[in-house]
Amino acid sequence: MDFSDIPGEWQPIPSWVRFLINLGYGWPRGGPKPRRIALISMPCDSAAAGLIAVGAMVRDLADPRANDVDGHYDKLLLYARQFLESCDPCDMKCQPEIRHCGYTKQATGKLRSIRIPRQTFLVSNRTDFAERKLAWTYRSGMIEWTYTPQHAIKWYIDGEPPPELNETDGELSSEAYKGLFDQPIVLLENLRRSYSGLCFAGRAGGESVSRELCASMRFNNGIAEYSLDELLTIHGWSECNVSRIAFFNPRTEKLDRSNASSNLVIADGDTSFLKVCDRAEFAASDIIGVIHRNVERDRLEAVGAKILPNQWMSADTDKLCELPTLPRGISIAILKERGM
Amino acid sequence: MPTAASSIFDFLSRHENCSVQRYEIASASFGALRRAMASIIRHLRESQDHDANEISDQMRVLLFTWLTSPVEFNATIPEAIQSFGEPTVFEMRWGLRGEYREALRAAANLTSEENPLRAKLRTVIRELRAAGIPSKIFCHRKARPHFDSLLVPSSDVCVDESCFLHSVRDYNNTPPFGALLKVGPLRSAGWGAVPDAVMSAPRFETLIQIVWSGCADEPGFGYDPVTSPMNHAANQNHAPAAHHDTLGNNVSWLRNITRSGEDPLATIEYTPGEDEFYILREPGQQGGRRPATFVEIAEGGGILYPPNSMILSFDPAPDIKLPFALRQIGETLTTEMFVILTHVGDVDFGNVLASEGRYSLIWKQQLNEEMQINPDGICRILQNNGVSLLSLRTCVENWCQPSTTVIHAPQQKKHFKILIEALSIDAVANDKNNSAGLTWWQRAWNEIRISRGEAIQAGVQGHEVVEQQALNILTKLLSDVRRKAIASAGFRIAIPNGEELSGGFVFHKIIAIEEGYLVSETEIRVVRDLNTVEQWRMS
Repeated sequence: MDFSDIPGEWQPIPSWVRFLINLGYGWPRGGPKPRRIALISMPCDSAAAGLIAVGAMVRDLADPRANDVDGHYDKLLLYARQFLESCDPCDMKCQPEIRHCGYTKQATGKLRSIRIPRQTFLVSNRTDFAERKLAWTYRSGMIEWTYTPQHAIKWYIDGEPPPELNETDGELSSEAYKGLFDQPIVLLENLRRSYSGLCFAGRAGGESVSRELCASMRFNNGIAEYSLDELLTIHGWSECNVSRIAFFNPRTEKLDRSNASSNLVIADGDTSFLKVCDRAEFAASDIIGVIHRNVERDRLEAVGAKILPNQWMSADTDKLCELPTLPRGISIAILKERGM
Repeated sequence: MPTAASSIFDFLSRHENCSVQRYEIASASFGALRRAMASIIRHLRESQDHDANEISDQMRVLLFTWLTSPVEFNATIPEAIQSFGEPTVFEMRWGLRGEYREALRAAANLTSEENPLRAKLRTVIRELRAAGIPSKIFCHRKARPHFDSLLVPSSDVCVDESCFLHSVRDYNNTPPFGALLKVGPLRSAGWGAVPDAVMSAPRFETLIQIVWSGCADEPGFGYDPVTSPMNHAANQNHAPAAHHDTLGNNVSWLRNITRSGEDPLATIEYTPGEDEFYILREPGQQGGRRPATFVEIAEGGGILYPPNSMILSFDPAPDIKLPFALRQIGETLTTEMFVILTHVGDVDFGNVLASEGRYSLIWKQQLNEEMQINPDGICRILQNNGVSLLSLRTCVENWCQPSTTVIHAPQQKKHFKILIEALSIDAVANDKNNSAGLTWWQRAWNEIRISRGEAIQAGVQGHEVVEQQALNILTKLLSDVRRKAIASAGFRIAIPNGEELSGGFVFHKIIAIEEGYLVSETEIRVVRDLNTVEQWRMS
């Protein structure tokens, strides 16, 4: 596999790229473990956070629990409740931070079906939350009901990736990831399923800036070229219909999907890292912040203050010892929750 | 565009060590000048008098300019000191005991010799050029002319634009090179500021630092938030020590110090009590101060904002999704964009501020007439009534200037009141619309404040709500704004009738963003000229 971050210049994957991908791949996931916060300091501006994210994403492809299928019905019910009880009656332009409604993103009530992806359906007010019966209306006014998670899996929230594809069309190709690791373990069903347990928090400038930066890094396995933004499978960044990484936009402070519960967040840049550390929805998540040192002192100090050991977090020297030798220019600090 | 990471890592992997060559220059006459100036500044800043503080800040600007730039030792130095006043009067007024005379004497002595720091820098640049080592100079934008005047175009390879780095952004965008030249100590903000990254993330083999003796680098310079702060004095010739619970960046430095010249009256060992960057670190004026980031605008001058604040701004890039947005200073707000000052209510921009303010038109006309008839007379009246400014005549001439982006007027409210009283403006005849019960001078002062962008800063109308409404209005004016942005680096647009806000927007193109200022709250979000802002730079 070759790598390029300079247009037209290819080289075998350099050690610093390999280090970052492996760091994401080897990050402890699942099971009982202490919460960790890591800060990786880079000598220059780069899409390093994206490289770590792609490593973590490949690791998740091997995990049978890493999918959005489980709990999808509950997610739809939560979405319907938010729409019917909060967002639909609300007369404000969606500004949860001013409204203090407790939500982070507007529920429009629109659903899509993987069978009829071009049409939207509106959650009906005949939905019965006590009976866990979800109802939505067709354009003709006809009501459809669903009682079972199996049936609901065909439906998904408008603007978000479907939890599972029923056909192979649009599924993730594992070919692109094979060159990044010697023998990546990939569960085939995960290639058809979306996942929100891994989150990529982009640049302070927003989604387009983050994507542009990731697109500047490219891989070539001799058959095809892949840009890093495509490999990340963030919803809307590639032609793939499933998304294995949720995206948090620090500019709008919104996640790209409702009720996502991320166990690992990779934050790109100092502003993003600081925002993620302060967000309630990531209070239990592991966080890996990636910054570069070509910024003003004030910004460096603000980030440095977040990575100091305190009464809740201590330095994770065990994890540091497990890491291979760092490429010159990269420095790392890791904190872990005390008492675990 | 930032340099590709591969080339930086490639550079770092090939260079196990980088090196610092520090040249410390001593000079007896310049040393005498430094000590005298520092003594005056310290004396004046201890005073409770506002004017004394103002003079101390102006002297501080001079001293730090000399310490951080390769200035020519010529007549401009004694002239600059002399501009503060006649020696006897000055010393008597401020209770000095010969320090001012000493400064003048030392400055006069300087003119007979070449600045040794400048000579050393010239030699170093020529040696680097001769050896074919690609080099860059890191300096403040305002220090650039001193470097430009250093080399003789006929006999030297001229230093062109690409050789200069002025900001963290410039440094981030430059590919690896051979040597970085820096005049003055290494400090993270204020006078002589240079990014920490030059030490923590070098992309050059050698740092050549030329510095006056007695000026130490900032402790902890080269800060990496992951590893412990690096202390230059303590960590000679090896990599920065990391916390035992972090993994450091493995960047190590070899250091070499060469001293030249002598200053018999200076202490041999470094003494923090004699280091101007240590003892005069902060501006001296009284009152609560807060850190601020300076946004320099293309028309001259600039605006200070609280660090990390969100600024209403316009990005002229054609393919941008959100041309108008609140952007974080230094992060998403960058050079080539426009800051937008929203002037709400009270002022009719459509017809008035595009040329002159309603009130300023009147008092400026009167002032111009006075200056034509009897300039000494009006200046004397102002001085007698308490406008105790240095170079008062120049200041008054400046106030006569027609409005540009701001209404040129006294900085202080009390001075403005005295000015209006001295002009004896017929307030009744010239104030038919006074519905707020304010006096004429107060309304005229409000006009000046608004022109300086204080309306939103005051927060009277709810900062966030106003900005949100402003964004909505601006979106409708996009095509007009784009057209004007192509033609001009600074322009105004009135808010059309029927909108929720009345007033207008003033656009200023950003040419630089710089941290390291300490200012009072009243100076935040106000357009100020460069010389005024200089006084608030930390050292």
